[in-house]
Amino acid sequence: MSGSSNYTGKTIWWPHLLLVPVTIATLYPVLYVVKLSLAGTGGVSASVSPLPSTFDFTAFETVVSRTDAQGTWLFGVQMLNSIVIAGLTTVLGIGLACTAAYGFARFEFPGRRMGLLGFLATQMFPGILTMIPLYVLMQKLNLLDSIAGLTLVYATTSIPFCTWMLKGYFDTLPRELEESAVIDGASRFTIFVRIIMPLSAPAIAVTALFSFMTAWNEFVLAYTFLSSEAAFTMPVQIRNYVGDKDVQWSLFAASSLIVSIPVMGLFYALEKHLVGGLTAGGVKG
Amino acid sequence: MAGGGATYAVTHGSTVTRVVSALLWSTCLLVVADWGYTAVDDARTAVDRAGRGAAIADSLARTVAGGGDVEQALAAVESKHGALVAAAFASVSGGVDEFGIARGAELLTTKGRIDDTMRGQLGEHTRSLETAASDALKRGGRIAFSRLAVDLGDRIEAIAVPYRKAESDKEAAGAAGVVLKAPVVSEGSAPWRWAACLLAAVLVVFLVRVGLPLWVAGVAAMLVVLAAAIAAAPTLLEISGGSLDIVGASRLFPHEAAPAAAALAAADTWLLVSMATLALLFGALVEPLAWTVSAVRADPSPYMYVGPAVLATGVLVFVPFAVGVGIAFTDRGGTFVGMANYIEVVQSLTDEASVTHFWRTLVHTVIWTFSNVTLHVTIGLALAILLNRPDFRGRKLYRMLLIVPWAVPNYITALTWKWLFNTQYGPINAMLGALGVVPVDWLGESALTNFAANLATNVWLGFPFMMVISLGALQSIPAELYEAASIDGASGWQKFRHVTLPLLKPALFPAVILGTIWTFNAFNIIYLVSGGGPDHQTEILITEAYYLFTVLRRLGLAAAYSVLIFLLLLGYTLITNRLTQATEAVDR
Repeated sequence: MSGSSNYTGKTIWWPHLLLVPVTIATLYPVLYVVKLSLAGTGGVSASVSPLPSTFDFTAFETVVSRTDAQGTWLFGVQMLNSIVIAGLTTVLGIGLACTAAYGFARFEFPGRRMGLLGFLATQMFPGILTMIPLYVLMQKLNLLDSIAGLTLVYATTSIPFCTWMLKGYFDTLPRELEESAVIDGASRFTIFVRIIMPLSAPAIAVTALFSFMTAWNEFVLAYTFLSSEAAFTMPVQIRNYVGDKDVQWSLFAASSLIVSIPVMGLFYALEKHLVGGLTAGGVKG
Repeated sequence: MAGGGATYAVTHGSTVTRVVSALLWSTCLLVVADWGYTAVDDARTAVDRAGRGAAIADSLARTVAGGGDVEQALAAVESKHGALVAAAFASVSGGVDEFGIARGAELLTTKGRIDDTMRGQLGEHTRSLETAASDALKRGGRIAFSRLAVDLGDRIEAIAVPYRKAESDKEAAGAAGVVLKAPVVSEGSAPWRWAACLLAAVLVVFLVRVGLPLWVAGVAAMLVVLAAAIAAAPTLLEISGGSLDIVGASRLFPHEAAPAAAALAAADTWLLVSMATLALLFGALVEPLAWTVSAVRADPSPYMYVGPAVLATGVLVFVPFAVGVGIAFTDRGGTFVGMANYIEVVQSLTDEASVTHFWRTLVHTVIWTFSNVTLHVTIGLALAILLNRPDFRGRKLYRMLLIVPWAVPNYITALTWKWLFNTQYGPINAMLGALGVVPVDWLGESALTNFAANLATNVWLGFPFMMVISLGALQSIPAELYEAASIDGASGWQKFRHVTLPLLKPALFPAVILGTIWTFNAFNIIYLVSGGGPDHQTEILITEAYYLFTVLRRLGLAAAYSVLIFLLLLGYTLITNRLTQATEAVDR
């Protein structure tokens, strides 16, 4: 049905009348961010047009070269924080979710239904309810202002969603593959590592990238748990550019672009799979 | 559990199961009962302290009102009640100066132990008490007992009583009170408690051997322990009833009648209720647990796969969740207060001085969610129907451009829109200016413009999701159905109503449920665009909970909010699920 390019009938033009304004309205804020980022650091004047009037890259320069009083390269450190946290979250979360998804998909055992439903229920927990005890716990463990603490929290909260996504995929793999391997004398774990994992590589990659994106874009927990600039992730820093003390919209715009362009690329690459995962997870028992 | 029962023969009554469950039970009993005892003790100590403190404050207020030497009276109180009282204070109106102008009230305190911060807190407290008392006098109302106390942090609190110079005065002249020392934290558990709990555990094993189901035995034992706890502890009413009566009977000001007795009875009841609930919960949990243990013994392999993930989520998601639910029953210092937080939430409707605006925020959250989801679905569906037409060019390009908002991290979206709505430099006001409209202070003092800004942001952010879902569903509707409808002479609207909509429903329904939950908890948007302002009017439940947690540090209250959010969403999901199943059944 989606083969639109094959359409050979008469084409009409009036949908453009509606779609062009809607598209302009949709792109307007994004274009405005680009304009802001190119306006230099000298402040901006009110204007309607979202098209850049200057091409001044000083905002980017300021953002990238930012250091603190001790000479630490803050941009580098914070970027690294974001990358390390999102990366570790993905590795940890996916590692645990993969095996769990396989267990749920291929075994019948007491507690299976309860476990699956429990994982589904976590998606409904208001973040703040778990945030309060986690804050206290992290405080006690001295992990409050650290990458490790945040990574642990991100990874565990990502497990249920990843498990559901991967279980959905494992369910579609034919069981005959494993049965013939069992006859050949392979153990269950060997089958999982040698047969299932390679077959599911695309699904695992997609899930991993989502997990990465979610951690990369997370704001509230990072904003609440992190307090020193050297521990900030990029979202916290971006918010602070337009915080209560001083407001620097052009720095906000420049750093926003740096942070979002990679994930927006990822999003476009993965968008089709995301829709399937989100809706399938909620419907299947 | 139902799925596994048929395929796996679980050795239900094996010795191992019994031993394991008995052990689990005794542990649970020990922990819960001990926690309960401590909570009861703490509650009793707290009310007793409050009662004694109020009695001291009351007699001090009498002395001050009677015109005695204030400094001397304060010093006397401090030396006499040194065990309980850290300092005494009284606010005294400064009288009239040489020009006949009334001087402001002055806060007199005993020397030492009171720093500037505390002085400020005490000054504020006495002032607010005076105002409250004067108001109560004019309206003929009462002052709640709980109003007398104020939390000074670090488990230190102050209790003050307002006074007036003469029975006929219509205004309070000041307030006098004492700063209470931090209470001694309950020491470790008494050995007899542990003995009682062990006995209860033995009872469980016995009852199970007699043949009762595990959970019945467990609940019975738990209730026995509870009853023993409540009965054995000294009755608080006896301890402090006398001292509290003084406050109640004080005719200086009409305090709430018999406040403490009622408060204590309520505390005891709630303790009993919540512990009985916990007992039932354990009763419901332990049997499946024991069952799982035997299932793991029967065939460990599935649990090896699932175990690590379940354990990790258990420790860092489920346990915090449970602890959060528990925190909702405590106050700032971590003391058990029963349902006090929930009661405060419910009473926010009538109590104007309350720090929460639960009902107002709930109404706003519902309006917010409803308007957003409606707009998301309408816009998304309309665009999807357009994009589903095969007969114009550029559909793929439009689709790609229109999902840009979904790709942008949402905190960046929120901050960007905050910029767009900037009064001075924002392009929205620039556009209005070009049309000759005066600049609007979007994020200023008007709740309506703040709401509009939030709404615009979230609609922009959320319609692509609905559009993509609708488009996917539309594309899966076979063209033959439309052709058949056309042959039957159906109009465009009829086709939409009777072919498109019914076939869209299965895809749109889960998406709407998901969208509702997201919008209901759209923290980033509200927090970063309007910040909940002005005066918390555009707050949604989750941002208000965050405010209670991070700014006011009312952990218990914030947790109670979150529990309510969870219950609301759970109820919503269950009801909508039931509805979906019902419609599916009808459709079949």
